Amino acid sequence: MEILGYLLNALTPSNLMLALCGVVLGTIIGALPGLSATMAVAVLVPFTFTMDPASGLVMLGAIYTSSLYGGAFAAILVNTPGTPSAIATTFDGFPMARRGDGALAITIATIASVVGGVVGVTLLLLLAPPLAKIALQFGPAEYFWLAILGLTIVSALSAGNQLKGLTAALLGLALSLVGVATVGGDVRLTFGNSNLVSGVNIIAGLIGIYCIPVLLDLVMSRDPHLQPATERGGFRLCEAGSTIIRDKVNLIRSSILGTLIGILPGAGGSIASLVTYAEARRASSDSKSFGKGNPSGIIATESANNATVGGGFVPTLVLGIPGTPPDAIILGALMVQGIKVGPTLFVEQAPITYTFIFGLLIATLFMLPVGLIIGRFAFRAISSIPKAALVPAIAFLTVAGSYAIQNSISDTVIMFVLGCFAWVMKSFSYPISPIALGLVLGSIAEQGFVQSYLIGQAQGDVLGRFFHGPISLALVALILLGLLYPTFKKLINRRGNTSRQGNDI
Amino acid sequence: MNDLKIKTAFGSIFFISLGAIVWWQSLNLSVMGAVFPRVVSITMMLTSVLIILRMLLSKAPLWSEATREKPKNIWRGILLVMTIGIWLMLFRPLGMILSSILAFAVLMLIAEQDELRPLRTTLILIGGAIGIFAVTLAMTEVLMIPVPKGILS
Repeated sequence: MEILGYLLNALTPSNLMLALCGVVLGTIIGALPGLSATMAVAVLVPFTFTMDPASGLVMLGAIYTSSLYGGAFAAILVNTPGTPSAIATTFDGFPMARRGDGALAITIATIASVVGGVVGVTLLLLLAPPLAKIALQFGPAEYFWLAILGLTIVSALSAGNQLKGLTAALLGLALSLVGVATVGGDVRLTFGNSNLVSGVNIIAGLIGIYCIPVLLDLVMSRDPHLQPATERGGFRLCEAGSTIIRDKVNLIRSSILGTLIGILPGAGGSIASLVTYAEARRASSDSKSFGKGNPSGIIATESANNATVGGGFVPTLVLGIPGTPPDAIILGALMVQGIKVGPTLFVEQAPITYTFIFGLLIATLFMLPVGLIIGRFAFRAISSIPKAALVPAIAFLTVAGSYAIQNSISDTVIMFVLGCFAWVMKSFSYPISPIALGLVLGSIAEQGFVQSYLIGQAQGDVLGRFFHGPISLALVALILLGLLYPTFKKLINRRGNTSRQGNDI
Repeated sequence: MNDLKIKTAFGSIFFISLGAIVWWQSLNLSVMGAVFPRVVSITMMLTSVLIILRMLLSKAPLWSEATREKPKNIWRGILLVMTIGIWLMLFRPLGMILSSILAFAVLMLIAEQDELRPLRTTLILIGGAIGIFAVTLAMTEVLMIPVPKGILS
């Protein structure tokens, strides 16, 4: 009965209004490349100090979850992930938009995000303390292998040439090395340029890698950016609903996997969406259509990245270990409000904690109407805007967005140079998504690698340190599976064809 | 040797060189700072060598999509790169608003694929200027991000 009281507390008109405002603001911020969830939450934290603690947290949670979802808009409509966790959404979202199914893609992304978010928050509500223990089992070696798993998955998805995908991922890792080392503090690969000491900013890098090639392709080709909306106008809610019901196993599996990956501090939505995308492709009977506009790809990635919100709050609230930068800011806001996080939080601070979690749930549900309305408007607007307006508008948003990250023109220059380089790489038939993922996962991989290496050296068994424990071994097995699966599949297909030809003869 | 194979060979040589540069740079670092760059550089060189070997041994195309590229107007691309480059150079001296409006106008002309229509061009330019003002205002007043004002200060 107490729980019901907390739910009613979250449902007060002021909390509902704050959650709605947070969702609208978060969706718009997430859709604009360069303006991240971290920035939105950080900017609004001081405003929440004057509010009732639970109401302030409800608004911050709403902004966080909806800005992750908002990243799908830019991914689907402009082929530019608004947030790192939307990288995998570009694989199928943009091809769908190109063929005129942008509204359908956005509706599918919206429903999948809502379901993923609800699953994540429900698991947070029901299983937070036991789930937090799973996160504690992950040491440096496990984090290293987890990052490598993300990179091998994205390389394996580079259909046609896995080796080029792997090389591109290594380039991303090399870019993440620039600046002050994660462990040890050495200044690396700056070539005497002081602007590079702080490294390649991940968001600026992502904007460049995805936006500049899009701009170049737009001006160099006469093809329209997106096909205009098909005759079936509107939200295409029924079509999206039936697609999702047909793919319910993928939806539930991706939501649960997303929550579990979200629990691991630092892993976040980018790894979760890639792992679930790869899993959806592996399990699909029509795996060849992935990357060409298969709605299952969007269902997997969008449900997973929103599920990480609930998952990420498990270690944040139970252990005081924030999984992502927005989690860290919300943790700071909790502390400023005098709330002591820890295993007893759900008992000692139950009113605030449960109101916050229910507020998160309500905000996730608000994403459905808000996302559908904004999405419909956004697709119609972007598909009808002439290139003469679209190109300078995207260019302005890339420049302003990359500048806004740290108020630094150096970030904008790095964004531009990386973008031009990514276009050259693309024209040399190297995939660009692995570069982006390498940049995102570089610091996690390096930290895990160096720490394991040092512990192993101290114990006199470096290799043993990397391969100890069942989690490490399971991750290594998954990496090998990811690397060798395309080759095995080819061999099996070839054998199948040969035996069929033999039978025909 | 076809166009794709030449591109692949150049790409691989670039990555081998990049790997060598990363390795060479790591020689001046502490053990903690050097161990990961060395692993990355060796693996990068190894995968690039494998790509070259595969290219030399295989008769199959290396990449299914790249071989059939549609004709592109490379000059528009070069103009776009030059315009953004100049925009970034003038970002501080002219200020964000003025440099962005000028860049908007030039990029609009570069991206225009059809015949110029004065009314449409003017409307796009006015819409762009309003958008630039609105975003700049949101950055300075809501997000509290200081932007260069340049000659407008």
